[in-house]
Amino acid sequence: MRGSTTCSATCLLACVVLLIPTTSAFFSLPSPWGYKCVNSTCVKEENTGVSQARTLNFCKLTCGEVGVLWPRPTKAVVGDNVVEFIPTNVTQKTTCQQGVCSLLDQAVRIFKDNLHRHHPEYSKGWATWVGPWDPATIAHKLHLDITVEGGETRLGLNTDESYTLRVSTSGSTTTAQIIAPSYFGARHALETLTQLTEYEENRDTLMVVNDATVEDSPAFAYRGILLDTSRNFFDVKSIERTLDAMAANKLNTFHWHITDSHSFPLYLETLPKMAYYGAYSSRQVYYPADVRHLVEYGRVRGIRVLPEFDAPAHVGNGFQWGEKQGLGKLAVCVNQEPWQSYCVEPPCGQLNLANPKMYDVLGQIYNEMVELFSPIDLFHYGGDEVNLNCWNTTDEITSWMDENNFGRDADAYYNQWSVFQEKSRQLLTAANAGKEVPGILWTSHLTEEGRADQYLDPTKYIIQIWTTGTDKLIGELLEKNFRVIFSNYDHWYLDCGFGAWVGEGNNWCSPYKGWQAVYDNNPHEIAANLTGNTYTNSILGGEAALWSEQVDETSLDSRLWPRGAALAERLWTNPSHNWEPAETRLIHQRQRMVARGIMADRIQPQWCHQNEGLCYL
Amino acid sequence: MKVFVAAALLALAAAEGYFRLPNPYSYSCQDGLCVKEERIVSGEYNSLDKCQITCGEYGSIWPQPTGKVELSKETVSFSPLHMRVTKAATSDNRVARMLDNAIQHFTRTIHFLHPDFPQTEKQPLTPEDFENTGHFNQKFQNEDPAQQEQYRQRSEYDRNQLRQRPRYSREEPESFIRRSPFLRKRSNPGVESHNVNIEITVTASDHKLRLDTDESYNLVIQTVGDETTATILASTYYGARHALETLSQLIAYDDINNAVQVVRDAQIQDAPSFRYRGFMLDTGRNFYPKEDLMKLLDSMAYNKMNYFHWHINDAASFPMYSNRVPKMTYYGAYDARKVYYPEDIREIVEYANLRGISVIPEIGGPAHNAAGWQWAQKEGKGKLALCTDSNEPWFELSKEPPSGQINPINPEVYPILGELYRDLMDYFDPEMVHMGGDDVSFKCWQSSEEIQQYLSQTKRESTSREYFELWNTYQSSAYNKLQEAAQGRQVTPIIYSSSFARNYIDKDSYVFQISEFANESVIADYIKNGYKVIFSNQDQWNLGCLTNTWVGDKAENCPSEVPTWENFYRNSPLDMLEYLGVNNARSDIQQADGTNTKNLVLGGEATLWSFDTDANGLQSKIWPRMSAFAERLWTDPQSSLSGTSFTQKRLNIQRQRMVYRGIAADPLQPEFCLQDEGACFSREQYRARTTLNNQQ
Repeated sequence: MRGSTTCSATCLLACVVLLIPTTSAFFSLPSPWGYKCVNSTCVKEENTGVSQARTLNFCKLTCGEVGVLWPRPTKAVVGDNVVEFIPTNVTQKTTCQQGVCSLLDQAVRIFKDNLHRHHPEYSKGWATWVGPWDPATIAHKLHLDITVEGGETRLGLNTDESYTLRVSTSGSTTTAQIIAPSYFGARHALETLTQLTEYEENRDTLMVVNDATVEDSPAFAYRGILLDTSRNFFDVKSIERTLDAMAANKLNTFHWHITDSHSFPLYLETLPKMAYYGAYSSRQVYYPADVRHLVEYGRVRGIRVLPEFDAPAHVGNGFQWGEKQGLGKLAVCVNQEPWQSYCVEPPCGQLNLANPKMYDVLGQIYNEMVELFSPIDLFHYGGDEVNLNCWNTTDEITSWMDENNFGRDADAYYNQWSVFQEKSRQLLTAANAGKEVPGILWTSHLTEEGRADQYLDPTKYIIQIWTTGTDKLIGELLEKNFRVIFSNYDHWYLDCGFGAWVGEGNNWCSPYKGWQAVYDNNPHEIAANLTGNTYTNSILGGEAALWSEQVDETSLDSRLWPRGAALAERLWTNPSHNWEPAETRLIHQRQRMVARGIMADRIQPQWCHQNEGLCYL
Repeated sequence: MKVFVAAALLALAAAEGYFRLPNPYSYSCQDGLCVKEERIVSGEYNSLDKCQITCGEYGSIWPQPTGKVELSKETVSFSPLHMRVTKAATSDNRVARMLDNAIQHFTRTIHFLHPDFPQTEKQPLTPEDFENTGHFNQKFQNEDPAQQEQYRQRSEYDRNQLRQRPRYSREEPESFIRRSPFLRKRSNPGVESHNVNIEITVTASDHKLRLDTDESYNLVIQTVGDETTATILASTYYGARHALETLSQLIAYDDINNAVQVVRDAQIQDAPSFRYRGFMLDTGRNFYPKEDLMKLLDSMAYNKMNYFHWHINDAASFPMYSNRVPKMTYYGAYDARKVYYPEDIREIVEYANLRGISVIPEIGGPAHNAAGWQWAQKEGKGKLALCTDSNEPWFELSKEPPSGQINPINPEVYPILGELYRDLMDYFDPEMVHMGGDDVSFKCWQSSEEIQQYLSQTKRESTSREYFELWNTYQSSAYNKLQEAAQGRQVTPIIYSSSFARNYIDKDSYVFQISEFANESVIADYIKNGYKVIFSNQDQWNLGCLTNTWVGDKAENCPSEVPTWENFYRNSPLDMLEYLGVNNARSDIQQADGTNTKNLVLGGEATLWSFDTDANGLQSKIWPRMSAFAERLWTDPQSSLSGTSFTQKRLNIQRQRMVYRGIAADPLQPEFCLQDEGACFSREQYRARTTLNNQQ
């Protein structure tokens, strides 16, 4: 009854017109605005009622070379008209091998749910589609015809994620024909198809572009997001949401930095005291069932859940039980103060190289992790920020160094660290039933100038770069044949730009990396600038890192998105241009994620979404 | 190898999903910090929760009280189901009704302490909940029948609204208490038989917050045997509400007994240092649903903030449904769902009042106007807003896109403004109205043919002086329309500081909002000349600069470093005035002209311009930095940040408390720092602490 009693003399609109909106609490009048596609831009104009202008969504779907597809496909032709249908009217035919078929069933189920999520009143699996529809809309059908040629059910670095999608309309059927060499390509195709559909606000239905051809494949094989669940805890629901949003952006690796010196939230069946002493509380624990659930949840969405067990530094809380059980100190410098002398941030802790029992426990941790995440195709060993002063001030370690005549200078410690790394690799391989998988290591003292190939075998290790994009080290690693993943902090650290969490001022890697900075970080360009060569084969891809000192599940979504989407287009499409031409599509992708239940941050006033191209610099 | 852990003990863990074992850690209070220690099986167990509410001079109370605080080191456990209001003395029925609501709101926050309470159900107390779940409201049998009828109609209206909104799988409304995890059995009979009684006395009948409202309160907690009594004495509802807020901060979860615990004995006297502790939200650039605004009001109340400055519209959109000028909304709203209807606004204003918050609406000008005004030209009224042509580059005409500024020489503008002000009076019944007055672009008026013609016809030059005069035409006409709309009610206008404001605006008729950066010398001039001011230094108290790269990739109008919680905390209006040469700013001594600095400084306001924020990012952007701001204004601590780790520790707890209540506040530090207070220190803090320990 909003407004109905107020049509007095002051009422400036014809009352008849305004009575309609008030009954449903919303205007049910068409918007006063319509949109016209002019030079690939949706231009807002008043809806005269004579020539029915397009709605904003209609215009977005069909205007410009690729409409609002995100990440932008390698090749796409998108038609300029749409056809309306009711989302319950979707059929499918799948051609696939066993194993793939059950995955496809799930992908189609997710696709259908995402169609419902276009509705502004979608809530908890349901939306209110009430129409009124004309008979043609009611009769119209969206038919999926999906063919997957290969039988792969696990993502690997060599998986072919390409696909072709052809949308055509004839009579009362729109057919989306999807052909992909692998399940993963087919899944991406369904994502693209979702982006060719939108909500139709005047008739409360969906529309799909009636005619489109997309041939698409990723520029990089590794497209990741890192989440650190040790500094602060993230519940399983929030990780599911992250995987959903990653899938919407065709990202394919969820790098799970599970543990650190702060907390050990992983429940291990054979080592339950790790979590008992190490978890923030009994509710802030990932149980085996949770991990297996997330691994599977990711797989269905085309995402590898990549475990990291960071060592020998970045360990601490959780390891306290060892000494009580007569195993000696598994970790040293745990919570030692003043922390500035023993580690990069509180609390301190580093594995005890002098204690052989430490390796028994490490082996057990690997055993269980490999089993939880199996089958693994990569493993992250961490390996960053070792503090030599911690080891060198621990009597047990210094006497062990002396007894074995290892020496006590920095190189002696680096040597022992590399010995530790080799033993770790052997333990992991044993845990993986003898099957070697490439290991990933952060750039560190071990990878510094002239050291990397001395300590590490480029055929066995992939290096994840977190220094700046101008660091000469990157060129050296590439020249020494290491395969690399980019996470240079000057563009791809999403935790920067907040207040320092120890002491005052802004945090160390400030300022905040806006989506533009994320988008513009081009690994091939960085390599070319440093070496003159783009190293397209050695650069596996990139990853944005969300270290969680100052974020937890409460604000995870807004920290990751839509910046993660900017990353996704860099890694999927690797465009030659900068962020500017991508802006209007990104804003729409952000709206789409919000509709799907991701609390992505706004990057502009909504006005800029409704007035394309007018929020220019 | 695998047997070295006592498997029998831990086998229980996986089954239930949680460790059934007791927490391995216990906490002791040392020098005001909770220190984590491994628990000795036979020893006493002190949970972190218990330590937090009892350790240090102020426990975990935020903002810190200004009067006497005595807290016992002991707590007593009880079930929230055994917490009752045994006395709510007030001579005013409306106040009784309000108290009833505040008590329910308070009770909910206590139930929210349970870690198993589903986060998604921690929503604002709707009138419907209030009607259906009150096990307190039966206490007030002497309810005024007219009020009862009003409430009945209200809730009927609300149910109708719910019915109209198409929803699936909507749960039947039921008491949240019936869903509370505290209903589970407790094994400790002592806990089961303990009662907590709350006795409230309110002496005055104020039911609307104003600048002169007495917000002070007195809270005493006494425990005798199995009875704990919390006695609240306040002159107004608003003080009593704050007392309940403080009481809620003396209660924590008790993990052993599936219960809560309250500080056994306590005495607190408290009153705010500043009368105006505000927050400005801009709903013009991006829209915020009603529920999010109510959540915002809850979170402000948790920090004893008391003014919500609602920057309703801007050049980008006009989301308020105007009964008198509905086309403003039709043309100006982003879409039909992004509208504040009068009923929504009234509900928000009433909700705010119950949370101790007064709402100040803003329909500002002459700048920041475009959306909504389009209709008038079609109806022959000429251009009401200028510079709205998107073919013109916005940066020549305004600070940001979209450009647009009121046409001050079109006489059609003012009657419409008057109608909008009358709407504001109807919806808000405001004590103050914000009239804007920022970012006026002379270049816009300069570029307008209509204005240029007018100037030449009236034989004036295109000079700043004349543009100030035009601005004054707008401002004085708008002011008159506002006073007309107020129909004799006293409504104080607020205007942003500017050279226009200083030269044209009558200091006794307006309140001035200072947006200059901290320590700019002009700030002192306001005080020296006797203006009433609200501080809003945009380099210290602007919450929006976190990711401010929305036009292109450059941060505009933001300080080079993001204001941290320390900035928000440290920015002290009175210290700033002392620094700028205002003598005795901190004392009650009157100035030569009879004014008193402390009376002129009404308080402060943190602002969020919604360039790159909507409801998704709102809470984490403002909290907990705004908590630091709230303590600056409530407590006004004289030493700006002494003992940072003690402030940080209480702030971490306050953040955690807000999260327990369903507010998505950002964490400032790893949870490790919350659990090990004082472990996350800087070198300076470490030295200070070691020196302190050595001295003792």
